[in-house]
Amino acid sequence: MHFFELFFVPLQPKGCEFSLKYVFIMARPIKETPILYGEDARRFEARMKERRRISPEERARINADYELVLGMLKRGEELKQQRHAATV
Amino acid sequence: MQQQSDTSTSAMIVVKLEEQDSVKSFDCGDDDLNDFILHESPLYRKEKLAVTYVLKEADDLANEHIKAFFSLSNDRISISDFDSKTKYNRFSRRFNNHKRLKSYPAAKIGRLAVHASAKGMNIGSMLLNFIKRYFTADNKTGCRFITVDAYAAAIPFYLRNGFVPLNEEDADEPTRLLYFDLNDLDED
Repeated sequence: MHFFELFFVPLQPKGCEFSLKYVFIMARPIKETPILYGEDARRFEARMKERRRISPEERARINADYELVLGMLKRGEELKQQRHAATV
Repeated sequence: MQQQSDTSTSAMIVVKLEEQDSVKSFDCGDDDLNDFILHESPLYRKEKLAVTYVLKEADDLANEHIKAFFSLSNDRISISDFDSKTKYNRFSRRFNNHKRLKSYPAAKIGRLAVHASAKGMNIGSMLLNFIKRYFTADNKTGCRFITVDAYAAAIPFYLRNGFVPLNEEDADEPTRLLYFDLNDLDED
């Protein structure tokens, strides 16, 4: 998406009240995931076969965060439905 | 650290942004990420390319003070038997029906950012842990990997959270593709 922002840059050349500067801003598109070839593909497949284990503490932290955010998501949905019902 | 995030986020909700929803202001310190949530995320939503979720206070109806956001989309990781794209293309032109690719289903974190005022509260890791577990707790359609298009400044954060680079091609680019194998979460 393209859009422009106007900035006032104070007193750049001597004697000027201000100068105008147009800045072109565009968010970078989300990158596509490429097909893996050659060494990248071999490395990826080898890593897939490796068995890595996370610690019980790490697993507990992930589960706790999941439950916490899931609760927030459910609460968000409930509030959204309540507001929708109130406006209908 | 973890307790800090639990207590400070207790009054928060997570909401999926709909097409008509907009975010009024957001500043994570990166103009590009700010522009994504302020202007581009509704377009991704409209075209059904990505869905964005925001973390905010329950009473922030106008999305004026969101603390963090993340956008998710379907993805896949494909690997080829060929050594290079050129060889693969040459082969596919000759043999149309030969796929010679293996693909693995994935979910992509297109963008994830935390508001500058909420940094250091472990919110990024909390959301990342949620996403990892979200796709294994109720894996309805099969999802083996989480991929992320990570900004260069955020790469150490993803590496700390178990992600690894997908290839070496984008090592010096402004964003880099990383992945996390959800099988790493399996219990013995």
